[in-house]
Amino acid sequence: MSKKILIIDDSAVFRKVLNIHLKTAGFEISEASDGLEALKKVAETDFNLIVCDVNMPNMDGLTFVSKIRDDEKNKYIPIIMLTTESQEDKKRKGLETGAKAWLVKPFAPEQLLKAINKLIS
Amino acid sequence: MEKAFKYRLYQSSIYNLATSLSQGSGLGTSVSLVDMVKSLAVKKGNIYEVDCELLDLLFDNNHFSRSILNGLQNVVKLFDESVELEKIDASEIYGEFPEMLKELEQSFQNRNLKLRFEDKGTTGTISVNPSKLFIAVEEIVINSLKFGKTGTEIIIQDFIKEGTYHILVSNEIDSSLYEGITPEKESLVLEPFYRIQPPADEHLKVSRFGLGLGLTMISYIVDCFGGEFKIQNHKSGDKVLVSAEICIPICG
Repeated sequence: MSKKILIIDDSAVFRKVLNIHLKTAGFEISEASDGLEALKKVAETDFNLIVCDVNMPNMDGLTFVSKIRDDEKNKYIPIIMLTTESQEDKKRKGLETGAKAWLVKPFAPEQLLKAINKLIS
Repeated sequence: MEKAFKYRLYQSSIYNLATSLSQGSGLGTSVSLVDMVKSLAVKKGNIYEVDCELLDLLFDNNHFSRSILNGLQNVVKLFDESVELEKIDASEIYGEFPEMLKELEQSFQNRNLKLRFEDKGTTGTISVNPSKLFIAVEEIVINSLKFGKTGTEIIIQDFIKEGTYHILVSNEIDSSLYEGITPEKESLVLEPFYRIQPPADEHLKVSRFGLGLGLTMISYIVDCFGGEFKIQNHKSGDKVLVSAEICIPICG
């Protein structure tokens, strides 16, 4: 059975790009446009991994990660942050909050797959 | 300018530019898309076979990249043009706003926002370039359009206070979604490429400058008239309002 990945990003075009990339690699994909919508999806579905943007309206990525880490049922889902934020202090904060990897946009497709496969396996 | 301050400013501008270029749709997404096309394309003789969905996405995304570059061109053009000033009565300028902002009507409807003009019949001679002033006001209104709370009004009013003509645009924001312009961000938002929120694809169509340059260019235009541009938060009960104000000296 395909592994399920949730993509969280406020740009519809960017979500579609990731969707095609990860679907082609054999994953089953769901999408959310911000942290709030993502929390609802996570409550409904068991995901194997989450790819999450940082700067989003309604609920940003770091708030989403900290909420997931406080949620008994979902606290161990691996989360990859995929963001434009390249500053070391932001990255450190993200990893301290509970993200497992921090990749910077524009992403290299191979690098993202490598990070996903490492965390899922 | 103090050296350390100068380089901090450079660092912040370049960081903001890098972030703006990589955010949302547009140039950053194109780079990833081309990488994907490269890895998925199948070469057959002189022809590459590529999934239609992937290429369609690349073509669609190109519109966003073009908008970003057009925005930069608009900035270059504005800096390049000479700003001829003319003496004109403020009431003439204010009277033109409803017609000038008509093009944005559909965008207002899409976000369930209303534009209200509080015409107080303010008169007084100012020295401005009317078409440039319209660009500045339009850009402020576009900003309100992006962040205004759904179902509320954007109010445009003018008045004279202590020898200065003021154009004030105010709108309520949804404080559960945005914090608006907090005091520490009042000057930062005027810096080139600085953004409080990531760009929304739907606003690229109406943005003249994009890339976090809108407020910078408003400030530049108003500066050409010897005036001042300010943007800040206000509390009104439990509401958070953002007010953007253009202040131009009245001619003596």
